[in-house]
Amino acid sequence: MAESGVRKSGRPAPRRLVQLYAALLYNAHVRGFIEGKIYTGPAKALCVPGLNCYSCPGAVGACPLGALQNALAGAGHGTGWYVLGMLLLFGITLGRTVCGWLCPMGLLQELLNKLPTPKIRKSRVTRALSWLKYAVLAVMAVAVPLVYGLMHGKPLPAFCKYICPAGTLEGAVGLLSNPANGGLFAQLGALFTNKFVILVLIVLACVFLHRAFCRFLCPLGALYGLFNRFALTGMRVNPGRCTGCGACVRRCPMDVRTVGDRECIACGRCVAVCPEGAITLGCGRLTLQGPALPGVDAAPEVKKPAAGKRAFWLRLAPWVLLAAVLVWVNWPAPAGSQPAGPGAAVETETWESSAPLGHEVGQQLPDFSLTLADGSDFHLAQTRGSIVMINQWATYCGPCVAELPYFEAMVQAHPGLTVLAVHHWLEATPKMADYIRQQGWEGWQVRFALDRQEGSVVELMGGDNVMPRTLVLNRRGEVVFNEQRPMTPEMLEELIRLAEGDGAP
Amino acid sequence: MEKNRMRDRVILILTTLLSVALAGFLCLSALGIYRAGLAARETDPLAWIYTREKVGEALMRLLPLFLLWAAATAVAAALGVRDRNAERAATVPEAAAQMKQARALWEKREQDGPEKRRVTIVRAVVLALAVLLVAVGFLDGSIRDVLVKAVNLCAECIGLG
Repeated sequence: MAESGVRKSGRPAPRRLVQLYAALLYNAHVRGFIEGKIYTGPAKALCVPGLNCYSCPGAVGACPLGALQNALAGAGHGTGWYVLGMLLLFGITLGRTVCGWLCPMGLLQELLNKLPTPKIRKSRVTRALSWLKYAVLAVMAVAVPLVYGLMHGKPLPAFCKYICPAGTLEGAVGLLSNPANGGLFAQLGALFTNKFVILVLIVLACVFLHRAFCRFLCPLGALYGLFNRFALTGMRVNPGRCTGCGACVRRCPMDVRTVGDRECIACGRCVAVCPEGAITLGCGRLTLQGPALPGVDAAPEVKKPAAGKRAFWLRLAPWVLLAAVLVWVNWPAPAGSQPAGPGAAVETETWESSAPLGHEVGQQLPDFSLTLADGSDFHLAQTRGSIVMINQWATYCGPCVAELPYFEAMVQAHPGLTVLAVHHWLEATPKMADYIRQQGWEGWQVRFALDRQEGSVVELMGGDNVMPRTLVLNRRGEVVFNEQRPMTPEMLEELIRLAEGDGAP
Repeated sequence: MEKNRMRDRVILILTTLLSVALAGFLCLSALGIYRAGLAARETDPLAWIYTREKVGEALMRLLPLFLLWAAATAVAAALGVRDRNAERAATVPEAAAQMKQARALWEKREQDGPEKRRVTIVRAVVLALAVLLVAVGFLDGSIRDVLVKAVNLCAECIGLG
C-alpha cells in the first residue's frame, strides 16, 4: 500500500522517496557528521521548507522556524523581512504539502509509527488536541520571542529552547554523539534534561499515534495549515464526482474535517480510498497524483512525465542537484581560505611563566592585542599580575547576553580582575557598539571588543562558533579554565578561587 | 487464524510494554544523572552534571532492555504482526455530513466565477508579496541575520544548557 510508504510491488512509494530525498538534501553536509561540526557555508542563509534544525551537523540550510523566532526576537539588525517572505513563499506554493512530502521530522514520525505496537486512532480527543499547535505557534514561536526581545533585548527562541525535538535530536544529540565534542557535555544541565525527556515522550507518542508531534505540537505545520485553502499545491476534490460518503475523512490519519483543510498534509491516502476517484493531488493545473486505475497497482501513481528527452532530463535534474549540493558542501575549503590559526596572533614577548603556549589548561595563552569598543587598545601582556577572564559572546546568543551581568558584578566585587568580552567575529555583526549602548552597558568595567577575522582571539582561545565560552588566566597568564558553558555567579567565584590558588607564587 | 490473532496480540502487548519501559528508563536515567550532578555541584560549583562516562554507564545499563526491545520488534516485523484495528476506517460519525457540506461549498465555488477569481487574486498577491519581502530581505540585511544565526551554534537554543 502506498499509504504505508511501500507499494505492493515492494518498491517505496513516490512520497516516501521524496521524503528521503528531502531529508538527504537538507542534511547533505556529510563531513559534519564525521567531524562533529556544523556547516558554515553561504547556503545556510537559505531557509528550507521543512523542520530541520540548523544546528544539525549535516544541515546545509536554515530552519524557517528557528529563523522566524530569532527575527522576532530582533537578534540581528534587520527586520526579518526575508524570513517572512520565505514563509509566505512556502505557504502559498506548498501549504502543508511540506509536512507530508518535504519534512524530515514527518518522515521520522511516520517511520516510528511503523513499529509494531497497538495504534491509537484519531478521535474527537485528537481533533481537539490538534488545536494545541496553534497555541504553541502563537505563544512559543511568536509571542515569547517577540515580547522577550522587545522588553529585555535578549533573543529567546522559546520553541527551539524548550520544546523542539528536532533541535534535541539533530542538534544536541547529533553533536554530543561525536567524540570531538566532548567539551559540550560541560554545558548540560536542567535544560538538556527537560528537552531530552520531552524528546523521549514525543518519540514514544509517535510510536502509538500517527505523526503525534506534527498533529499536536508543530508550529510550522500550524503556520502552513493557514495557507492550505489558497496554496498552489494540495488536494483537489471534483464536486461532480464526490458523493459525500466521507470515506476519505474516515481513512485519513490526520485530524481533517474535510479533504484539503488546515490539517491536510496532502499525503494522498484519500486518493486511493475514494470509491469515486474524485480526489487528486494537484499543483495549479497540473495533476501530480490521480486515482488508481482498476487492475493496476492499488497505489496511487505520480503521473509520469511524457517520454522522451524532456522526461529524461526532468528525472535526472533532482539527482544532479543532490550530487552538486553534496560536492559543494563537503568539498574541503582551500588551505589559503582557512582562518589564521592560534599561531598567527602570537606576539614575541618574554613570559614569566615557562608553560608552553596554547589554550589548554596549564598552558600559557599567547599574547594578543584588540581594539576595544571605546576605541582604546587592549594588550594581554599588560594584564600580567592580575586574573583575566576572557568571555566569547554575541548579541544574538541568549545565554551569552544573560551571563555578562555576572561578569560585571565580579569585576566590581574583585578590584584588579580583568574581564574581556570578545564578540564573535562575523562580517554581518558590526552592530555590537549599538547593542552595548541599548543595553546601558557603556559604563561597565567589563571591556568589550569585536573579534578580528585574521588572528582571531576566539581561535586563540581554542573556541569556534559554539557560545558562550569562558577562559580564565591566572596571574602568570596560564590557562586555569577554558570551557564552553554558561556561567553562574557561583561558578565565577569558584573560578577566581581557582585562579588565585593556581597563580599564587 | 484465531491462534495467529492471539499471538499477534501477545507480541503487540510485549512490544508496547518494552517501548514504554525503554522510554521510561531513558527519562529516569537522564533525571538520575541530573540529580547526581546537582549533588556534586554543591561541593564543587564547576563540576560537570553530565559526563561522557556517566552517559555511557547509563546506556550500558539500558542495553539489555534495548536488545530485548529490538529483538521483540524484529520478531514482530518478521512475522508481519501489526495492529489490524489501525487499518480500519476511523469512527467519525460526522464525516459524511461534513463532506456533503464541503461538496456543496466546492460546487458553489466551482460555479462561482468571482470566488475563483478571488482565490487567484489572493494567491497572486501573497506570491508577489513573498517575492518582494525576500528581495527586501536581501537588501536590508535580514538574510545575513539568518546566516549569522545558522552558522553559529548557540548551545542553549538547542537544549544544551
